[in-house]
Amino acid sequence: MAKVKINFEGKEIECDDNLTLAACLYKNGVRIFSRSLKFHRPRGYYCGTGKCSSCMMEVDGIPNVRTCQVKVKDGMVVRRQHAWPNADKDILSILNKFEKSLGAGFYYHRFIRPTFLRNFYMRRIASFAGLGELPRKDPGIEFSQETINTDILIVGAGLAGLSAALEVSKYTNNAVLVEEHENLGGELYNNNIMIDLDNEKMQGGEYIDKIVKEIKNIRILKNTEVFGIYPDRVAAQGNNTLYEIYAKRIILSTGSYYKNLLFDNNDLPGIMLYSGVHSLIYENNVLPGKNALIYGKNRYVFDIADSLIKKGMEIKGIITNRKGENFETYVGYEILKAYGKKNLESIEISNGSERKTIDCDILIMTDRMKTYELILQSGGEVKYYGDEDSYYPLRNSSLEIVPGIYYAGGFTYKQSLIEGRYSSLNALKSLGFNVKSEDLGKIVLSSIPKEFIVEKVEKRELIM
Amino acid sequence: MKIVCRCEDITENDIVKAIREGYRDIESLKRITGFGTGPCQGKGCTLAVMKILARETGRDPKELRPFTARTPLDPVYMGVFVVDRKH
Repeated sequence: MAKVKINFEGKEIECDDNLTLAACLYKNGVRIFSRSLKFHRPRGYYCGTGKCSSCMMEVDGIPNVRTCQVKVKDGMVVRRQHAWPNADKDILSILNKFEKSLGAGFYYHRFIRPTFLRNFYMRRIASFAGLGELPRKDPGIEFSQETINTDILIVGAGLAGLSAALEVSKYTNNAVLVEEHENLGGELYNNNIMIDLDNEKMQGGEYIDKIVKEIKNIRILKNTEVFGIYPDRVAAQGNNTLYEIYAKRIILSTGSYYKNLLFDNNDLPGIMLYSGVHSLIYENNVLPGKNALIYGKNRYVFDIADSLIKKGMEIKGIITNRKGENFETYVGYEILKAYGKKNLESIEISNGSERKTIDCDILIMTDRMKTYELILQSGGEVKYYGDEDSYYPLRNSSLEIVPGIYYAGGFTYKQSLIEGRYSSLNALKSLGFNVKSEDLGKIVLSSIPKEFIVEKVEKRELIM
Repeated sequence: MKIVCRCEDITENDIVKAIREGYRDIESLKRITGFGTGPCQGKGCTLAVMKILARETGRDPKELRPFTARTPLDPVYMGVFVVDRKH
C-alpha cells in the first residue's frame, strides 16, 4: 500500500492511498469538516455515503466536493470552505447566539425594503452564508456522455439489488447494475455483522462477497448515482460521465437512509449515522471513536453493537426498546441534549422522571427509513408505515410500483434478499423469459403488510 | 438548538413557528422555511418535518406524503450536460 501526501489548509498530511479523503482527514485528527450554512455550527463526519452536506470541502479548487466520496490522491489541495479565519475557530459562529432573530428565511422576509437597497443587502448576507466559492479558473475536468440501451436496469447494489442481479445474470447479459458507491453490498460490504439468511447465521460481508463472485456478464457501473427517472429514460452520473439509460424494465433497490434524531445540539461532531460508522470502519479501516453510545429501536441494534465490539469499540450503552443481555440498555429513555465544544463529550438522557448523563465520544444512530425519491419520480406512490417509521411504496403482487418498474427492499435482510430475487424473476417473466416465481411470491407477499399491496398500479402524472 | 435540516440550518422552532403561522402542508413548509432545499435535497429532514407537522396539526402521519422529488437528486456537475455526445 502506497502512502500519499495531501495539502490540508497549508499543512501536509500523510495517509494510505486506499482511503477516502474524509477518512484520511479523520484519521489525522480532523473532527470539524465544515461549518453550517447559517449559524456556522461545527459539523463533522456524519453520513459517509454522500447523502448530507457535512463533509463538503474545496478540493483542488472545486467547491462543495463530498470528501467522503472521493479517494485521496497525491498532491491534493484541500480547504474547508465558508469559515473565517478557519473552520476550527470560526468567529462567525457567534451567529449561534442570534437564533431568535435569524429565523428561517429571515433574509428574504425582512431585507427586502427599500427595494433599491435589496441587492446590497443580499450581497452582504451572501458573504456570511452560502457554500463554497466558484472556481476562478477552469478545473480542467474531462466530461463525457454515454447512452445505454438495456433490458433490465437495477438501481442500487445492496443485498436486494445484488440478489436481483444474480438472478438476472442467470438468464441474460443485457442488464446493467448501477451503484453509487465504490463498493458493492451497501451497509453489508465487508461488515462482520451476523445476519440470518437461509436459516443459518453468517457474516454479512462474506455473504455479499459470495453473491458478487457469482454475478457474471452483467455490466456494473460503480460510483454512479442515478439522479433522476424521467418518463422514458433514467439519468445517472458517475466518473464525470452522464449516462442516459433506456431500459425496458427497472428494478429499484435503493435501500435506506439512516434517520437523524431531534435533540439539543444534535449536529455536534461525533454524532453519526451508522452508515458513517460503517464507511469509516469497514471501508477505510479507521476507528471513529472509542466510547460509543448507540441509539436504535430496530431489530438489528444488538447485532450492530456486537459487530462494533469485535472491531475494538467500547459500547457505553444502547438506548433501545428492549432489554439486552450483554449490554447496558436504556429502555424508555430518550436523548435530551448533547454536550461538548468541538466534539461530543457526553449525552444526557431522560425517561420522563429520571435524568442520566453518559460520557461518550461518539453517538451512533442506527434506525433506518426507506428511500422514496426515485419511487415518486417513477410515478409510484408511497405511504407512511408506522411500525417501521418509514415510507414504503404501494406495490402490486409482482412488486411493481408502476407498470415496468419494480421495487425491491424489505425491513429485514431476509426480506430484501427474497424481494430482490422475486422482483427480478417477475421482470424476466414479463420480458418473455421462461421463469417460475409463484412459490417465492407466496413467501414474499406474506411478509408485506396488506395495506401496501394494491390490486393495480398505475402511473401518476408527474409535476416536474 | 434542535437542527432538523442540516444543510440549511433549519431548527425545530422554525418549523413549528411556520406551522403556527398557517403553513400546514409539507410543500408550503418547504417553500417558507427552505428545509430540504440544500445539497442533500431533503434526504435527512423530510420524515422529521413530516412528524413535526403531524404532531402540531393533530393529523395522522399516514395522511401526509413527502414533497415532490425533483431531479437531480444528488449534486451533479453541470459539465456533464454540455459535452459533445459520443455514441
